[in-house]
Amino acid sequence: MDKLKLFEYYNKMCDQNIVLDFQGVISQDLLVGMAEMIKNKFTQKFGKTNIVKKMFSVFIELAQNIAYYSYERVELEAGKEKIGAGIIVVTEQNTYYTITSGNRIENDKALEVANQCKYLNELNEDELKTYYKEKLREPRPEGKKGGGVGLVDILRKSKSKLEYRITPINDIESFLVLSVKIKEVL
Amino acid sequence: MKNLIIEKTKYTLDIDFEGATGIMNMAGSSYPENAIDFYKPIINWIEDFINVEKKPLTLNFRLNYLNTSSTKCILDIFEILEEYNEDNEVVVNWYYEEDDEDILETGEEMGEDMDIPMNFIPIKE
Repeated sequence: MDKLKLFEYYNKMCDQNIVLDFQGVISQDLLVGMAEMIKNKFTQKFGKTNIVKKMFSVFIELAQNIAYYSYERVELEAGKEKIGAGIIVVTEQNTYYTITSGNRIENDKALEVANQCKYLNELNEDELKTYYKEKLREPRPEGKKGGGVGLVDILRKSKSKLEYRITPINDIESFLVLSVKIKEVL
Repeated sequence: MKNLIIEKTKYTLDIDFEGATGIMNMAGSSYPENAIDFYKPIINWIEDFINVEKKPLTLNFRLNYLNTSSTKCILDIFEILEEYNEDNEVVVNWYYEEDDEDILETGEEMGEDMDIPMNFIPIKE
């Protein structure tokens, strides 16, 4: 991109009703800053309502997925664990918000995520709850930081479906996009 | 036994455990970079208390938000307490802001299959 065309880029983003757009390494400081910004911005708009908590929560789970699992990893501090990079976008429509995350992922894991999304999207609220409780009580896989229930939690909080797209990059990796709608009236 | 105090940040809980009384207060929001690392000293303290003090334990939760990896760590704590509750007294007080259905639900679901007495207490703003 021509560096001086940033105004065009900015306008294009505004046209798409982007509330927040970040591409890069999702360090903890940034994640907290962005999550707090979302909370504050929407508390201004809606007061202390459940939609604000749901946006906050879905954003954190998607952003932490990038930080934990993205195949593109960067060492921010010498000797410290590498952190995942990717892209996360929040957009605003008339009656709903969309939070979309994208990151590089190993091909076999992309397939796993796709299968999980497919499976979870078919479950109703009660089935999601049962699945969530079962998964949460399973022992942690070696070296895994998360609770293994991020996607289930997102579905339960948003009460919508997980849209996903996987674009193959090469023999090793693909690009994974996950998108969730959060309606103003839940 | 020594107290355990951890000051809260925007993304980690305020921890105030009293060794003398067995009263454990946990408050705030929890979405640390590494939940296992954050909850490790908390779980260690509880295990020490159980082994050394053998006295009743009261847990007071006043939470705003838990991400899923923190929820899993709190569940680890509940599993320890469930076993302790077989021969000792354990009470969990789950305070929640009156209209915060998500955090109430999180607490209820954690308690559902646990054999620990749990009180759900709404806080009016």
